[in-house]
Amino acid sequence: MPGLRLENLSKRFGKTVAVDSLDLEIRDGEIMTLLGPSGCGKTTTLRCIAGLLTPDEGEIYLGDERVTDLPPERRGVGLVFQNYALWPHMTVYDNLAFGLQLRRVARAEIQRRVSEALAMVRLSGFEERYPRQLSGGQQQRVALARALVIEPKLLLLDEPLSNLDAQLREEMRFEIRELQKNLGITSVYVTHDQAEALVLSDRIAILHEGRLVQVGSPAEIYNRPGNRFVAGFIGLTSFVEGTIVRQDAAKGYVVVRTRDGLELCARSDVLQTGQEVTVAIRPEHIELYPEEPAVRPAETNFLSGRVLRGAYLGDVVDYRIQVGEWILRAHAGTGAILKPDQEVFLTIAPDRITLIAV
Amino acid sequence: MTLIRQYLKALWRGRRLLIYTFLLCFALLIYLPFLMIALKSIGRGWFGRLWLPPELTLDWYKWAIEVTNIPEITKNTLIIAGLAVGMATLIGIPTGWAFGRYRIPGKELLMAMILLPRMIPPIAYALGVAQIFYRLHLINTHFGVALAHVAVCAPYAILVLSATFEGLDERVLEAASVCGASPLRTFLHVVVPLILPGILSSMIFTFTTSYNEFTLTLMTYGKDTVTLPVRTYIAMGEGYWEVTSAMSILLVIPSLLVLFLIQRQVAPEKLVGGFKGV
Repeated sequence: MPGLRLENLSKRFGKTVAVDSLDLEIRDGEIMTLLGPSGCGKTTTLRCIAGLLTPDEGEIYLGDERVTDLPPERRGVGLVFQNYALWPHMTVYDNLAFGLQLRRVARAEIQRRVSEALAMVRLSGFEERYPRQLSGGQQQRVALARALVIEPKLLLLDEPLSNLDAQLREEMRFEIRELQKNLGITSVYVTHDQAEALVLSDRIAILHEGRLVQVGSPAEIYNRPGNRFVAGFIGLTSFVEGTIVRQDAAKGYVVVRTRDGLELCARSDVLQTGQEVTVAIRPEHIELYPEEPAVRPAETNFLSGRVLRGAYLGDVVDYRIQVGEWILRAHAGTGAILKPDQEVFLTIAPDRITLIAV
Repeated sequence: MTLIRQYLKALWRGRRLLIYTFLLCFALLIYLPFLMIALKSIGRGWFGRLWLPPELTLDWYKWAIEVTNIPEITKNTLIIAGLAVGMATLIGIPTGWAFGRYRIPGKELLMAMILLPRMIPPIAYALGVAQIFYRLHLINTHFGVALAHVAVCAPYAILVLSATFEGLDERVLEAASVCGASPLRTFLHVVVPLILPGILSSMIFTFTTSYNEFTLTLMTYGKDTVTLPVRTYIAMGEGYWEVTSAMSILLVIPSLLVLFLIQRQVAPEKLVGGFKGV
């Protein structure tokens, strides 16, 4: 049984298509992230799931139940807002108890569940505070507890961490992930922050201009981006364009030649000679040598280039290197810093190169 | 040069004293007239030449209440203020909602037009109101006087309420409906508590505006709709300054009560209270 299923979901605002025939299935107990730049339709999708927006087309199934036409109050989902949206005139206790009172839960049971939920987000003893007396992080945890205390079938989180400072954000990622796993609650998490998505998702769905671009585990998305948009959006990537000129079927390698004669060897079982491809290379997969190595490593791509500039990032130096007519970004250790205009030699393992058919 | 510098230095050293002197003058400017009236209303044979009245008395208050029929006039004033507050609030809630929550083309211009009756000289405005009211036979009716007051009360109400409604976060309402609250429950348990302080402060402002309104009342009142400010003005013409002072003091009391309400109002949760039980 799926936790949540979206079928052919579409939503338009005037002439702009916010969500364009989206098909997505979220497994029971799984946390899925909807990831994309602003305006990609991720929040619109979430609001459709919550019932705050009515889709123009398509169906939404929660478990086996079709909920497309249900108003939000009858869907039984929990929603955490970006700005927390706590009720400012109610204490923390009342904020949590409200949903239970609406469900006509007995008073003693309400007390038990509220204190349980507060303990879960480590806010026991804050019952009588008003939201304005809490810090941003505490408010966010109250919002999370409020969404969870009604024991929803589905937990929706709309960029819940983007109003917090960097350190707290990192902490909360793990906290949310752990809570979600412990409770085993099916969750949809919306964010534009790829690091957040990589850390807390079971699977990531990448959206671009209202369309679903790729769904996969964080590792799949990172290591095998399905198209140029995904490769560019997740992590840093340099792109080189060329055509496959040879293939070695036995070893599963192909050779890509660019229009300026650069040849790159990459692993691919599916692409054929003559296919035009975009080559995506991550900066951490390029090895830099200031001098030509005496022994060239076997079975690897060997290139030479010229340093354009380097940016010192603390743990690594981020170089831009001109290779032929292409600019590659490479990360190298901070031991020996390369100077602009210096000649440099690069190796890239074929396994680390991603080919995207054009 | 050194003289000026020494002078400035001395000033700087005495800055605390200077500030207190300035504040005292300022306070006197505001409170001295009030003090004069208060003393006048309880003194006999005092014409301001002595520091304090030679003899204290409450006779002027008795006079004011007996001779000028204060209960009747207070009743008029309160009925008119009540009607004006009611009408201004009824106009203010939907208008404020529209201004605060929707994107309206030409919003600034519309707001300026609403504020216009407060911008032009009240006496000129009142003159126009009086001419229309004579034709419509609204002069000397509680409703008529209150209606004239609405012209200056409603802009306040609209201004305060549109700010209140603008501050009402849509997501807070959405949070309630996702949490399981029907639109009615959301309205009762979230919308009402959150906008009530705004509505109350709008009502307090419009009440004091109507209660103290003089010019518009002067041009629209009749013998059955004399209000406290107008009666005070008439008493002044009659030449009994002590009685006029006593009436002024009586006029102040409800305003003080309202001021007290506003002070409490600053802490909304005290006024509204938490949500207890469904």
